[in-house]
Amino acid sequence: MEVSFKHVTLTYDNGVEVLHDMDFVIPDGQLVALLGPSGGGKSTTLNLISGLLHATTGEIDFDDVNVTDKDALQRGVGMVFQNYALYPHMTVLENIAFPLKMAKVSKAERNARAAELAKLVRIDDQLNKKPAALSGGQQQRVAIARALAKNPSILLLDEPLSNLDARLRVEMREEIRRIQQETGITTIFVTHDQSEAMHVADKIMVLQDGRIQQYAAPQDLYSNPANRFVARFIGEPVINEIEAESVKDLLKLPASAKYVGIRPEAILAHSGRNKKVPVKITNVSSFGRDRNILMEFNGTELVSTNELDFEVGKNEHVNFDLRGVFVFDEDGNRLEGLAK
Amino acid sequence: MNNGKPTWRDNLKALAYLAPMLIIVFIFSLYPIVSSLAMSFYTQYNFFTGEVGALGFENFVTLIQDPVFQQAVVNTIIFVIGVVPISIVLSLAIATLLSKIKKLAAFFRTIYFLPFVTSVVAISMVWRWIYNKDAGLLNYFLSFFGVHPIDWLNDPKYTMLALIILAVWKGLGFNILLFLVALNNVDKKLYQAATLDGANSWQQFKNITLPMISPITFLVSVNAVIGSFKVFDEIYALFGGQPGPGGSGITVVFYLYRAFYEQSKYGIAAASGVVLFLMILVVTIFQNTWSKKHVHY
Repeated sequence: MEVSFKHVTLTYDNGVEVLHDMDFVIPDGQLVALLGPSGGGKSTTLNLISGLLHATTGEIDFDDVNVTDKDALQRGVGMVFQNYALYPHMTVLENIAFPLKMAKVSKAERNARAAELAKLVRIDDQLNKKPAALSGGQQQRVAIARALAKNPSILLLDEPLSNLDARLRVEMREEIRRIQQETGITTIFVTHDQSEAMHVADKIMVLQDGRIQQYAAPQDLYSNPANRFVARFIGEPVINEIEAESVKDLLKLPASAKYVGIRPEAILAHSGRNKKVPVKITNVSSFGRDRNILMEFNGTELVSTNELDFEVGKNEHVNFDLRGVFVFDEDGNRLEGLAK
Repeated sequence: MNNGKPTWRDNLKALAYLAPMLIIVFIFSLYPIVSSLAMSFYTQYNFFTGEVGALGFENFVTLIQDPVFQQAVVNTIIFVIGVVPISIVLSLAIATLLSKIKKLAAFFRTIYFLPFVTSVVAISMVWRWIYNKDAGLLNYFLSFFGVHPIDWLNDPKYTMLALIILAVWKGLGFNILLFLVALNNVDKKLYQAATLDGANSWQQFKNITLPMISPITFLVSVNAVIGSFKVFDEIYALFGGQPGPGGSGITVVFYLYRAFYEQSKYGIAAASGVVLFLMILVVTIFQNTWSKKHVHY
């Protein structure tokens, strides 16, 4: 189901507007991530979609139906909560079957459907256990199955991976992707972890201070950030930032340029007729297959992830690959017109 | 320290730490229990010299044949059956309502808790007035519904009802407090999840609230059962030291009290205590078995 927000705002009872003019469309059958720092409005946006919160102004449509004033039940969304919110006194099977029980589906039918869903999320060997006896990843699977039980219009996941350890997180994000593709259900998940969003989402919406910073495909966010916030939020290690003043001799910058962001992989060894960028190597460290080279340029520390044959303490020359260089003005807006 | 098998030295050390409490428990709990159990078998006994003339089951036989004791047992059971379910349902209902209101919640909690901290004697004085036939508040309210004045305190038919009403009212505050704590401890996300799963308020209460607070419900019911079996002071204060008009409000503990202090039948008193203990034991064992299936920890 396609979800569209038309100029939606949300103001709390105390008069604070927490979401400002949200206007976007989530296409049918896609996996979309709401990404941003804490307090950015991700969970609030998710709750607006679920119907647990109601928009102050604006309109929310599911396909062509206006659902702005409908409650959570009428919207028919399935939701997986951050702590899973499984019913602790029910078995796995009873948990998955609960929405069907509420919908007055006969016992035989709902148990059959629950067992089918358990198979989909690969938890069918734990049906008679209570949630407390399951691992975090298994609880997650049960929560997804329960959310899918009533054939929801949309599947919502609130920080689905944050309670899992690192290895399980990678496994579960692939699982969410697989389940989403097998069911073809429009799925929206909230996360503060950019690599999580980058790995599984079809599209990512970056939110900060209740505003959409950028809404694009993962690779576009990385290679074409709309503003300084997105450039800094996406990417590991974090993008290098230099005051425009200190590189004005090396690059041709637009007049209002204030900051220049350089991706770590865009710092290359100097070659050919490029302008030389003089740096002093301060540290070289390796983490498995990753390698970080720290260098000082004009008093600013830069990091490169390229295999550069530099030694600590030496003065060297590098140059920048312009595909990984972005220019921002005073307010952090992206500027065009960058050249060598 | 925390791994490996405990040695004799460790055990002795633990015993030394526990000793002060153990001594108190032995002197004031275990010794009286054992000696009153023994006393129930003394058929010829001088309480002041401690001389035991003969042993046997005679005390129990006398008890069972005594119509007053039979009535005491029946009254006690009526009291338990009357007080416990009403008290639990009513306090859970009030606690649920209190947990929903935001304003004045603390004020209402205090109001409901007052009966629990007030002395039984003072409460009974007030209720003597409420139950008064001619000037009582209860008859005044009942008159709105066309009920003729009831002589609550002097008509034997109403003795147990008057006691049950008083006991339910008195126990409300504490039970409400326990239920409020339990209700507040239920994860609010569960209700959000249930809302999305299509459960209405009543279904949420039945499928989430009740199972989630079942440990407290169990605690409250065991506590109420034991407390109700031991009812004494409410009767003593409400009926001015008498077990109701014509002995209509006698209970097992009241019977025990009379046998011990008024009639100096120590063996009989001890035997009635043992019978009460067995009654409580049976009900508690039943509750425990039931809880294994229905209480979710």
